[in-house]
Amino acid sequence: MRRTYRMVLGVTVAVAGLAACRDQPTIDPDPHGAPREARNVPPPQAEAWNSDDEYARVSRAEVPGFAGFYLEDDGTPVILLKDPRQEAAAKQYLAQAIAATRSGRRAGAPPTPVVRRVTHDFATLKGWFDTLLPLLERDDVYTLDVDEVGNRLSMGVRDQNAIGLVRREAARLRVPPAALSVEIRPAPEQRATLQEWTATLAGGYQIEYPPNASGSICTFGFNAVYEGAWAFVTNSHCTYVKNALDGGTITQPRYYAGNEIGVEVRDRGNYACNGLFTSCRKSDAAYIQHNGSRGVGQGQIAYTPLNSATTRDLTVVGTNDVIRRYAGSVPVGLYLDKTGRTTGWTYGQVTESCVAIDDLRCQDVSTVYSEPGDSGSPMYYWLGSEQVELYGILWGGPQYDYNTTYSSRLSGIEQDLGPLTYVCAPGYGC
Amino acid sequence: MGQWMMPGCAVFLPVLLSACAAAPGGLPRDDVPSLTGVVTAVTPGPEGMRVTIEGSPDPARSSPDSTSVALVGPDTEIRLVRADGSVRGGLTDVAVGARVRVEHSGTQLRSLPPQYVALRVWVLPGADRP
Repeated sequence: MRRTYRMVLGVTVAVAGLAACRDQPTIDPDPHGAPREARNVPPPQAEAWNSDDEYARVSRAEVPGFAGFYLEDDGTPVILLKDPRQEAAAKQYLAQAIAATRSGRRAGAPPTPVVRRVTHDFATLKGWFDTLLPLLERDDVYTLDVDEVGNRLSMGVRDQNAIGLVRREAARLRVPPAALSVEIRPAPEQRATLQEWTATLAGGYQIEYPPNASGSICTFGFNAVYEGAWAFVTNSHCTYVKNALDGGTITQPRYYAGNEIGVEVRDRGNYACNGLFTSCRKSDAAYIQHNGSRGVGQGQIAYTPLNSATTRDLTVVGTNDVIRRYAGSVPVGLYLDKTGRTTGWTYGQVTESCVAIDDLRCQDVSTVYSEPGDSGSPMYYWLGSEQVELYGILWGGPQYDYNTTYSSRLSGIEQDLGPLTYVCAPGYGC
Repeated sequence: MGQWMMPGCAVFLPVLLSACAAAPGGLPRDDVPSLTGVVTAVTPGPEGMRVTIEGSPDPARSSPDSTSVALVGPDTEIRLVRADGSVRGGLTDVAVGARVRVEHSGTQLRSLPPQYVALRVWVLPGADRP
């Protein structure tokens, strides 16, 4: 069983706990004024009995010399034994565990486990593991694992210097060199979801505007400069009053004191947007001026794994850079993408271009999947390599049809509310 | 006199009939996009009021939720079927506990909860109304 770096495990637990609370209708119970770090770090936990401890016990009890088991690529269970004569005892001990692996994708796996003879039993490996565990306190040592497949320990470190240090220390502690593999690996990182607090505000993250009893959650659109100050764009219906400048406060991710990120500075009602005697707008959008409490991710749009109507992973795995404004005609068939707090990264194709919908003019309709909460999502033309062209923002769709999405173009937003600058990442001049 | 009556009827009868046709009435229509539920909160605002409605869970969503918000403005018709058969209602009839049917354009604004611009609100009978 792989054992991760303890702090990453603890933070992951905290993140999962926060995620479980995110849709509760009551005000977030976190105390006002608590340090940001305190909200994401769990209380100290006692070391719990885990599967490694259990295997170590078994290797000294029911199955002497037991060294673990794993699954081959085709699902074949492989039992590792220092003494092959313990095969029957091992199969009896692992009967339930092996049966449990035969489901889902493994339902057709070969039924008979195979036995592989190894040098070290699990208790021995676990003993060396415990001996080396204090090395994880170093910031250049990331992971330590009882690698049952390799019948050895496996350690992940930052660089060659750390490899040398670990080797010397392992030798001092009498861990056989052949029983320890040390490799350079990327540092583990805490991965938040779009629905959690972020230090740097970028497109796709959850926001909330002044709630009535129902709460009012939307998605952060994109950053820009409006009249000389940093602002961000979201939907007008994601502010206190739709189609009116209300000066309301926006928070991230939930509406409680300390989470304020900005105040609405530009919004408007209908006007003669399509010529004399018309009453309309060209976007469902509002400008929110940053209050300086967080970093501004200029030209940044977060992204998750690619989702669909049936898959949902809101973990932020990277950031796209806006390198250009989308300048095309938005033809039917064009692929558009979005990042929203409810459904993450999804994409689809334009099915109707420049459509009048209710009192909005020249909106686009696409098959981008979206659900309530995705309002305000930045929409973009995806170029790959974490580069996109900014197209506009998402605002709605037909009732009960979440495979259809309505969106406003950046040009329509600016026609309604005024010009924006610095919508692109640094260095791209837009 | 008879000579004048015929042209008079020809003028006034259509006017009379059209006036009758314009009187408030009718029932909720099933072919109009709508949402039905119980009002759980009413928040007044400068442009009207936000009415929170608890209805049936939406099975089409990944996390079926039953809460929606109706944006009731000055152009929203409020219809309450009264004992005398009239259907004219007012904003005060849309109160917490009322069972309502909100007719809208079919467009869902995708905040959470979703919002709908209410074209017409029917206050339905048999609700837990104050």
